[in-house]
Amino acid sequence: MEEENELIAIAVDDPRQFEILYSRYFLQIFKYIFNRVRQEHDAAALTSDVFAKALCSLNKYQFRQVPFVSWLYGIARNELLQHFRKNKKEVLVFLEEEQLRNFSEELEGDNKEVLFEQMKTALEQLSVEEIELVEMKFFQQQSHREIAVLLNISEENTRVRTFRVIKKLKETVNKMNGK
Amino acid sequence: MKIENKTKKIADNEVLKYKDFDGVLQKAALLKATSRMRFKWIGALSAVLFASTAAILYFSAPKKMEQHTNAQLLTIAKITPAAEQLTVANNSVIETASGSLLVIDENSFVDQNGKVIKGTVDLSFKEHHNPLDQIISGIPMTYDSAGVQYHFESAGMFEINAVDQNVKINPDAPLRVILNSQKNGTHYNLYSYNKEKKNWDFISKDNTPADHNRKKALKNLHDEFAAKTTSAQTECSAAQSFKTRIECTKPIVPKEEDQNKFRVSIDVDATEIPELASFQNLKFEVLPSTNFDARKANIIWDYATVKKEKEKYILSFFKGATHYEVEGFPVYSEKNYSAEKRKFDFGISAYNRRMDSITKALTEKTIVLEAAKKKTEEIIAIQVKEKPLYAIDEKIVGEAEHNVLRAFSVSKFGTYNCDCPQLLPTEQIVKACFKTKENNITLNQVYLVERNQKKMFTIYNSYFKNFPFNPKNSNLIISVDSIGQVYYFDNFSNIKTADNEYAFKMTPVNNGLRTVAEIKKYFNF
Repeated sequence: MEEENELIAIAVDDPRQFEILYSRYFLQIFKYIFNRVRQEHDAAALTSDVFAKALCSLNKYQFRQVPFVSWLYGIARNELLQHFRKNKKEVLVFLEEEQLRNFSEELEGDNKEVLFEQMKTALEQLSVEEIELVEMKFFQQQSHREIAVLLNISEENTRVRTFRVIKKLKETVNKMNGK
Repeated sequence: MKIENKTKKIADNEVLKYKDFDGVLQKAALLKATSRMRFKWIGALSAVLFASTAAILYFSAPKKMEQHTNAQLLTIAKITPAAEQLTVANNSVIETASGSLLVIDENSFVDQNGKVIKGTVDLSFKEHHNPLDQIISGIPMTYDSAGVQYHFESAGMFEINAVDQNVKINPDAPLRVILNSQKNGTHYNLYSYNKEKKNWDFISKDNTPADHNRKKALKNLHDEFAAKTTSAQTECSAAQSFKTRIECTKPIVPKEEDQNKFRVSIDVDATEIPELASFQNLKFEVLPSTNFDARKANIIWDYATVKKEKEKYILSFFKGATHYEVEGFPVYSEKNYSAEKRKFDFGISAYNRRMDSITKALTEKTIVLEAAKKKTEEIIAIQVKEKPLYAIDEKIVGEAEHNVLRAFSVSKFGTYNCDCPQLLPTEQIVKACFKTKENNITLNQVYLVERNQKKMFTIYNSYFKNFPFNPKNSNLIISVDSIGQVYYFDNFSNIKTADNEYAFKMTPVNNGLRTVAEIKKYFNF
């Protein structure tokens, strides 16, 4: 992280030096965006926007014991929200079926196949912020600290929100099963 | 929101084909330009006007074909900036006319084949400390980064070259140029000019501390060389003492015994007389001396010793309270001589090799010591010369008040700069044209100098329709037309325009001004 902070400090003065960080995180950010927009060209344009905005705001980046990449994810997230708003598109969340099955299995249930279908329905009933939280925590395996930075909330608040979302999902599934 | 099962994966190599850092730089440049303009014009102009102005400013970036380089303009104007000629020796600290320092090591210069040049080398050294210097230098003072053209706010610039082009700087022993910067502040970076790319290469941030000044820098430099002197002195003393110790082990040439002379066999203590350590069956032949008494040979002595005093072997014989000393010399019996001679030949050859290496090491350490001593003395001489400047309450007075010594490590000849990239001012923007009293004049570029800020901007003709300046600064415009006439304008006190257009009435500079000194005097720099 020390090396990264040094690279950031140098890039503040000489933007060309930002290329090292760009190369380091391009793939990650592109894939994160692509998972939402599913169009390669849209993902490329949005990724470029993310890095351009990061470069412009580099002097505002404050090291908060979280990796620089989390800050980039935060910018990417805002860009995606703007993109969906601007294009008046419904926010899409693409989840790997396997990930979704694994996540479903973490919840209680006898019939896994039924539970998987129910989980999809339950997830669709969550708000954008809630589904994002589930995505970050359970599918992208991000830490509470990293999520806190992305959502600009406290780490404690992240824990509370995660707990509530899981509770809500369980309740929805239970209702479907008439429990 | 809709949840969908992901069915499509994208491979890394597919993603990487979208990698385009230049595109990111261009977007960032556009974002920066837009946000700066938004900041300046918000509340003053409509959103439409703002957007179009920003777009004009961004898209009317200077086109290289239209530019004259500063150097070309100066050639046209027949202004020749003079360089300081320095004859520098290895291992020295040179002070330039403007108070900068060049620290040169033993091996700082090499020839084309990489062979270290001994003796002196002639250098050409030019320093540029204010905007007028920078204009006259002929060196481009713009810096293209991320597609944005920045203008250098310089804290000092220098050009260093060898008069003989075959002389190069040894990259393993770079020069240290400690520039006598006349601007303080910690926001500067170090750059070197890349002639091939026609742009500046970022070297590093300038690490000069905020509370630094010339006096402190000289003291630090003095302390650095004084510490090197002390350490080199210790090394030399240790090497010298080692050499002396080894010298004592030099095998002596074996001498065959003379049957007609008195000889005595005595065991030698190898720690006391190491040069005899490797020899066996050694005898000492008694040398004739004033106190030699042949009758003593008949005495049966209790014991005998041999010691070395001032290159002499002193044989001591003891019996009760009687003590007798004579001088002797080691010899060998005829039957042992050839074997001992072989031992000697082997021993002396090993000794010579060892001594060569010790002497070489000592010589090297002595050179380092002498270099450190010399540099310390040279720094002291500079400090002594400048002492009056610091005399009053140990505070720096006079011109040195703001001077900061900024250090560059120079591993190749060229142009170096301590700078902070700036964007053009945006406080006031007019559609500019340039006139004399009578006529319009055509200028390819003008230099906008903010005298109070010691900043200089190169404004190309493509920017004239959005000519930017800060009316609160003490501004000066200087330019040269295509036939070499120099013009200036400095009356910025009341620039008001109804239609945003302004004709700068340029004053022609007397064509008799040709030297840098004359021009500096004319513009009061």
